[in-house]
Amino acid sequence: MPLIEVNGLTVRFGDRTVLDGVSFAIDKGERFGAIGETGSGKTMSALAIAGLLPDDAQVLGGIVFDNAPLPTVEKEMARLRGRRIGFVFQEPMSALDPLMEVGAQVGEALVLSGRAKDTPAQVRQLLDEVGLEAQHAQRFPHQLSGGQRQRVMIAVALAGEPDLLIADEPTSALDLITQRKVLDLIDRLCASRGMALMFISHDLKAVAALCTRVMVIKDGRVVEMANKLSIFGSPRHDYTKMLIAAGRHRARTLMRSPIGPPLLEVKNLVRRFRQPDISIFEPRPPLFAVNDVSFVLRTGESIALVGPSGSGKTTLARIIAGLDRATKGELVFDHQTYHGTDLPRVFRRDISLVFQDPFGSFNPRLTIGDSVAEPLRLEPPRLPVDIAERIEELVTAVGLSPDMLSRYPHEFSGGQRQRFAIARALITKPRLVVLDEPVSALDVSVRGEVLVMLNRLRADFGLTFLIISHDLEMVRIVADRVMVMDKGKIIETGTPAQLLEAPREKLTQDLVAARLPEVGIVPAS
Amino acid sequence: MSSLLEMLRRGWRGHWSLRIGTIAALVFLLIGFVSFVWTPYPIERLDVGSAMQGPSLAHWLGTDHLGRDLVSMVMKGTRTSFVVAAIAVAIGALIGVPLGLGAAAWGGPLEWLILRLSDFLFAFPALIIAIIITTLFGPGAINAMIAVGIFNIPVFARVARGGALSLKSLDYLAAGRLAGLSNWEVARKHVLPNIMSLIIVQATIQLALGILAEASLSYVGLGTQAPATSLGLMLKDAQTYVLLKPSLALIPGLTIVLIVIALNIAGDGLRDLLDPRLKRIGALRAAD
Repeated sequence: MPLIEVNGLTVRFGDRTVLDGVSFAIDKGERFGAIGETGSGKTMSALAIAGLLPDDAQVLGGIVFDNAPLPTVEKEMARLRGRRIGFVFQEPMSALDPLMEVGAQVGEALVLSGRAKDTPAQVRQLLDEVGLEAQHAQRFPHQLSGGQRQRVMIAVALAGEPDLLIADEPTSALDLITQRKVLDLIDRLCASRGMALMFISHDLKAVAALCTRVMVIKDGRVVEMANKLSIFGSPRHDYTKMLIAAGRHRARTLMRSPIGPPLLEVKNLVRRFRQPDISIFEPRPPLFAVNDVSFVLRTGESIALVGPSGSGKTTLARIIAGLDRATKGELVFDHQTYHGTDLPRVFRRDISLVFQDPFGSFNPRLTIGDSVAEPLRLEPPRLPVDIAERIEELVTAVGLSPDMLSRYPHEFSGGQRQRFAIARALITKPRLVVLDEPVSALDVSVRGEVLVMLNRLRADFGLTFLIISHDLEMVRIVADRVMVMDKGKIIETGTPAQLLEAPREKLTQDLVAARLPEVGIVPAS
Repeated sequence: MSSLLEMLRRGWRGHWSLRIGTIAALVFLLIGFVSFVWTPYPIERLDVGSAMQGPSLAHWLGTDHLGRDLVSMVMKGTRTSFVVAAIAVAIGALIGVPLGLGAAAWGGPLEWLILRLSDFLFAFPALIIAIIITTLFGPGAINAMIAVGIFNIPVFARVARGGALSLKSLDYLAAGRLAGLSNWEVARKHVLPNIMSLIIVQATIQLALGILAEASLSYVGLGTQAPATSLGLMLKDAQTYVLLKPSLALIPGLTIVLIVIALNIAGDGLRDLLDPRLKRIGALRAAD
């Protein structure tokens, strides 16, 4: 007797079909995974179960929850959501009320589900269950880290003691170590409470680690559904095979220009941020985002900077690229000393930065072509024909077509935008490219392609890379050397193989341990 | 800008309030601007012999105490109101938006100064500023525009600063700076086009407020002066005869009310359409 049964669910917005005849069932206590790329409709199927679809959605097909069809009356649906279905959203910051202490939000969920007896004690117990301390109840969402916020979200979802927990990409906004902890937490909670789980993700490894039965969705249709072993062991559908293959990045050895003299020297760099005082009598010590960091980057080399979120990686990248200024210490780029924002204009074209979020890095009101060509103003003015030729060369080099240039950013997928962002970074023929988490905002299925492309570009253009990431696995493919950063300091340096096999520091060990096991056996293609 | 226009075109179909508001406001605008080339009667000509007439074929809304045709008066008055309010909005936007963008782009002491200046202006109601200006420079339509315009400056500065701050952490601004754009160029190229919708919405609302402000100023005799006319001035003139012939006050009064309501509805509709934050809240509420 399944807990929830979805029959031929079709969801349309106007003439756009998001879900097309999706059927599946989840048994009591079962762990069910839904895999698909961005836009495949996996979130919509979860929203449909929770009755949270937008108003303008046309819904066909039936959903049966515990032998009764989903109520159509909003009030009853809300009660069902409060007591029987828990929902964990992707982005905990926007799912929590910024003006309410998190303890109060958990308490509110208890009251609304009608299970509040001794609210403070219950809140304490729930927070304890998700691995938070009692003092966290008095904090506001912005005072917690991403992982802690997601734990609060889970506590809110658990308040009604639900029979089904829906988790929609609960870890994609988190770094690797936190992701592993949250996944372990969900795993433990489902086991101890006997809850059914619907886990939605584009990350096959996460689904494989957590679920027993898996559904693969593509363009609103279920392409394959079976238990975990047969999906990952002997995928039948080509799309599933493609997803599994894309999950494993193959390093390719390419001809590289030999590693030359030092290109960038970072000397005892410090970046301090003033923190708002607790009160006028209790000043808070400044935050050292980057604390005495020194390293040398040689021409043609590729260094990866790895660390959990908040370790100061991005601040360091922004100083090197000239967007922020160091409090102390200096940088030397090709015999030119600078401290960040005072990078001389003639050198600006030599250092470029690729941003993490491909959705925020393009002005929505400019065509992609205009955005890609923007850094060319750093060069002496040239003929429009030459500029067009250069843009065309780079857009082709990142694997896209020049006739896309007149379109606007919203018309492209995340992977395409990140390719354009890389093209923009390379348009001035820079010597050093700083890549700030270049693939972490992308679907797992396109990460591999982008990394392989970066490798190729590095060989073709003779580039020097500084790559920032929280994922050791990813870095293995593109980096010659890895620096592990924690709390503003570089704590360990080595080749990727060294760090993966014999990590010395605790954090490195955690990073290595947080890797999820590889899935499936894929025939070499 | 093309996507803004496209968004307007798409929203036009769904939003009744936007349609009704915009059409009504445009009708009044048309009525006002026809008076540039044609009015049924010239309003400068006084004809005391035909004063205080009721509605007739010759005078659709009747005549006032000086025998002027009320249709012509309303047409001219609407025009004056729109022109004064529009120029006041232009003054406010042209000065306020750059100030707000500058405050957001540079921060620090400049931002503090701009914010405190706007607090200072906010502390005085528009009417008080207008009274100060008109006592200093004499009453008249131009001084009324300036007075209302000054009141608009901090409003636009705040809107522009708020919009710019919400964009500040976005990477394309950083990308612009990496490409060697100065603070000012980043604000103009990357920030302004993306907060344009906010400014347009604020402009419609300030237009409505400006019409109201012009009417109040003229009503207390600090705005438009005879022989020109405005809706507020008509109200003022009608005051004496309101018991004798209430329609003298009702007609300009209702016109003001209708214009302001039309502009506010259009402004609200535009805001719903253009402000994605509100749209999302609306969608969430609907889902609850």
